[in-house]
Formats: sequence, structure tokens, C-alpha cells
Amino acid sequence: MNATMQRRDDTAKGVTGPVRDRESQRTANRRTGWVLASVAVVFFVGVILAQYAGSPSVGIAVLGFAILGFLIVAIGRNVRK
Amino acid sequence: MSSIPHDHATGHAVGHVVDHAVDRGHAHDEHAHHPGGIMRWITTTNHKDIGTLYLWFSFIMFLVGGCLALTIRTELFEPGLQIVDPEFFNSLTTLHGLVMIFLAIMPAAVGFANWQVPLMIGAPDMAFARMNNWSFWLLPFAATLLFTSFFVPGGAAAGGWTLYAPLSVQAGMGMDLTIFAIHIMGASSIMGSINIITTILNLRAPGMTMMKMPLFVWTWLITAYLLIAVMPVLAGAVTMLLTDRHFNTSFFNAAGGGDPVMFQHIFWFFGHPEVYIMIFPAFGIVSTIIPAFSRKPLFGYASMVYATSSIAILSFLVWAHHMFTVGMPAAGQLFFMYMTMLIAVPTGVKVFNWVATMWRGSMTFETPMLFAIGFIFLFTMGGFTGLVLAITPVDIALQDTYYVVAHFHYVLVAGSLFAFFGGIYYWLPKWCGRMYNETMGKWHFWLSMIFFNVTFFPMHFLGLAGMPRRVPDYATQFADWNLVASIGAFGFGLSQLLLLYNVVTCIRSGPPAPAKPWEGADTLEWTLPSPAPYHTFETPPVVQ
Repeated sequence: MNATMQRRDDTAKGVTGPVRDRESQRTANRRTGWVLASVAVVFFVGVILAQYAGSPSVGIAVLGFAILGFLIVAIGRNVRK
Repeated sequence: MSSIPHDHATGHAVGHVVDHAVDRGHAHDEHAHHPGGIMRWITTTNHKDIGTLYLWFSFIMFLVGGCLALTIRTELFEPGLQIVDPEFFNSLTTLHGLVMIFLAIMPAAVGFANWQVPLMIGAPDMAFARMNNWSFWLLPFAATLLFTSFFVPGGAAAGGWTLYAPLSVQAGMGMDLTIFAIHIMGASSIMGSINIITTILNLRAPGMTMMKMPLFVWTWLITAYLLIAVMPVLAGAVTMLLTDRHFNTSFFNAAGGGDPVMFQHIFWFFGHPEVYIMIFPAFGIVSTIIPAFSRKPLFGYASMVYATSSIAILSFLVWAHHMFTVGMPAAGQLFFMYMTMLIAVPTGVKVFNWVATMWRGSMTFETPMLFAIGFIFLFTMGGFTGLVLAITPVDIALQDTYYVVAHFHYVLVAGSLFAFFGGIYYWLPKWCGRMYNETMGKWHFWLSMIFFNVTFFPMHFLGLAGMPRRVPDYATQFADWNLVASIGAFGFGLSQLLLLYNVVTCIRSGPPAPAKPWEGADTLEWTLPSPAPYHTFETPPVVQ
């Protein structure tokens, strides 16, 4: 696991240490953060757009299954590790 | 780099041989390089500071929400209208629910996560330290908006914490403030969740695989996923409410072709997972405390992870059990009834595992353990009344009665709150480096336990007899049990002052705590000195 190869400076303002490790760590964090934020935005917009579908019930059902699928994939890929 | 052996049977790091050279090296300048005074708290990016802020904020909100509850119970002390008018009473019940859920329980859980997740996985801090600060400081503004709504024309929101349309579409300006407050609280929760998931996935100590994480970390990971999934749904629903109110849309306004029942579906698609968002961190705390005071590894670690995951997924398939009375096909009623009953299976697995952990353990009954056992006892009772309410024909009879009020207070007060109390007593020595007063802690537990039951157990009788919830007045046949419940509520409220006094005296003048005050504790935070240094695990430990 390469997760914690980092040092923090004394002011806690940032991460210091080997640049490659620090940068790769921050890149990984940013990637995870953006993916999760994107999922949240899609659900927020989706629940509103679902009302404009031909049948709101169908639209909301599609969104519901999408949310359920996200949860199953998100948790499922971790419990196997 | 320090090295920690790992007990594969427990899934927990056994930390008693960790090398603290790095942390000792930082002990001399603990607070030397960051602002002091109020600016320390406003600008802090340290997970321990932010955890402390969350916990104090949630405790203050717990007292505020408690005062709202005591005003409700004062009004219900005897039949007739006593001290508040009916409209204000409705605002009290609404704000009590919103404050307790969004400003007391959820921030308390995030406070525990901020303090404990990095310490338990050997991370130096949260992944996004500045966003962590932002997540917290949104909350006081949301709280201000919510409380300001009491003073605007039309008063605060009064349609219940569920904000059902069309009441919420027609309500006064207080509803707009409530909607904005929910948006802000939702944004705070989503940012906090992103932070917690990223921290857990990317910042674990080398060697700490997912299935070696302490169960508290696991339950918070699943909670954070739930938050990412459902908070945007709530935000979308209240955004549509806002446009219905001010921009002539008709999402939920029947007069314009909208569907008020659709709001209920969307709300409860958020609302039922929200129940588990509030209870999962409590599961994690109890799963940490019980092995420590039983001096045994947690029974069935993997099954606990799978059970928590199963509950999380099932929680998305049961929302309509909150709305059996709005009308749905019999097939739908049966589906949601059976799905709700199915949740009892993984929940039963968890309760079984907690009891099996205690079985033949060298148990001692310090305050955290008392609260954990109290949690199991009362949460199980709340779970059973939930099973009763899952049965469609029974639910139709008990819908919107005090039986429902009793049920969810057994789950959320004796569930979440008791576990959080246990967690506070358990980790307080690590947080502030001092021991609390054990005798006072036990008094706090027993008084809370007794008065909680005096308050909420009679509500089962009131509900079975048909007393509706959210009413400021009632028939005289309900007078006796309402009197008992009101007395219990004041006793429960006053008992919480013991916790406040105990925590404050502990911080100010408690005897010094050792690094590991609990013999059976085996997670990474107990490898650190007490109080935990301001910066920890800057060089990551290795879990073997």
C-alpha cells in the first residue's frame, strides 16, 4: 500500500516530503474527491430531471436504481479487499 | 517507521509495542506553530481541533433541541392548551426534529469520525484538511438560518421535519430559511463524506487492508457512502419545493398538475437511509467498546462488515413503509413489508455478535460499557417495535400515533445518543489526557436509562390507545401517561447536565490519564500518548 508515504510540516498547512509521493498522494486524493463529488452532483440533478421524464415515476425509478447500483459497487469493491 | 503487530483473529491492530519515537519528537512543540485563541478554532485544519468543534457544536445543539422538546412536554403535561399556541407547537416539533437530526446527531457522528478515523487508520490527518474546516463552519450559519425562522413573518416551518407538500409549499417565509438551512447542512455533510471516504481509501497505514480496519472505520465508510447517495436527493427535493413556492413550477403542487405524494416518495428515499446514517456510527462505537471491556476480540468481524453493508443496501428498498396509508397496490405493500422485515436479519446478526463478544469475556462495567449495554438493550426494543410497524395492517392502525414516536426515540435516543455518550467516555482520556469521574459517569448512565424509559415507554401505551402525534392538546383519557412522560423528559434533560459537568471538570482538573486506560483496547489510537499529540502518525505506522 502506498497510501501514507508523506510528512506534514509543523504548521499543518501542507504536506512536505518526497515530491513524488506527496504529489501522487494529492493526485489520488483529488481524483477520489472529484469522483465522489460528481456522483453527488449527478444524483442532485438527476432527481430534478427525473420529474421531466415522460413519466416521473419511471424517471425516479431509474435514478433510484442508479443510486442503489452506486452503493452496491462502492461497498462491494471494498469488502473484497 | 514504527511497526505494529496485527491480530488476524480480531482484525484490529494490537498497538502495545508501537514505537512512538516520531510522536515524542513532536511533543515539545505541540501547539507552537499555529494561531492561538479564537483564530485557532476558526482557521484550524487539524482533524482533532475540527472534531472537537463538531462535538461541542453538536452538544450545544443537543441542549437547544432538548429545550424545544421540554417545551413540547410542558405543553403536553396536562390536557388543554397551556403555554404555546398550536401553530407554535407545530414549529416546535418541526424544529426539534430538524435540530436533533441535522445539527446534533449527524455533527456528533462527524465529530467522532474527525477525531478517530485518522487515529484508527494511522493517517496524519483528513485527506482534505481545508475542506474539513469549511464543512464544519457551514453548520453555525445553517443553525442561524434555522433559528432565525422563528422570528420571521409566519414563524418557523411547522409541517414536521418531513416538510411534506402541500404544507411546505404553502408555508410562510420560515420555510424558505429552512430550505436554505437544509441546503447548507447537506453541502456540509457531502463535503464531510467525501473527506472521510478519501481518507479511509487513500490514507490507511501500510498493511491495514480494508478487512483489517476497526469496525468504527468500516461503519463510517458505509455511512459516508450513504450520505453521498441520499443527501443530493434531499437537496433536489427541497430545491423543487423552493421553485414550487417562488418560481411557479408544479413539481408537488396538485393545483398545477404536480404530485404531492411524489415528494413523500423522494423524501423517504432519503429519509430511511438517513436513519441508518444516524445509527451506523453508533454501531461502530459499540463494536469498539464491547470488545474492549469484554477483553475479547469482536465476535464475527467479517459478518459485522457484511451485515452493515446489507443493512445499507436494504435501507434503499424500504422507504414506502413510511407511507402505507397514502395508498399503494397490495403488491407494493407486501414488497415493502417483507423488505422491512428482512432488515431484521442483518440487524440480528449484529446484536448476536455483540452478545457473543461478551459471552465468557472478562467483563467490567465502566461507564462506556454501561452505555454500550444500554444501547443493545434499548436499540433491540426499538428494533422490535419497528418490526411491529413493518406489518402493513398494524402500521395503518398505528400510523402517526405516539407508538411511532416511541419507536424512533428508542432507536435514535437510546440508539445513537447512548452510543455517542459511551464513545465520549471511552475516548475522553485520549482526547484530553485526563480521566473523567467514573462515579458521576455511572450516575449519568443510570439516570439517563431510567428517565429515558419513564419518558418514552408510556408512549407505546399512548400510541396503542390511539393518541395522535404532533398535537398540542389531547383527550383526558391520555392524561396520566402524558404526565409520566413529561416528568421523565425533565429528568432525562437534567441528567445530561451531569455529562456536561463531568466533561468540563475532566478537561479542567481530571487526574492524568495513561496512554491506554482500558486494558482491552487494541486499536491504533491507544498506541499514542494521552492526550493525543497535535500531529500524529506523520510517519505512518506499519500494521503487520
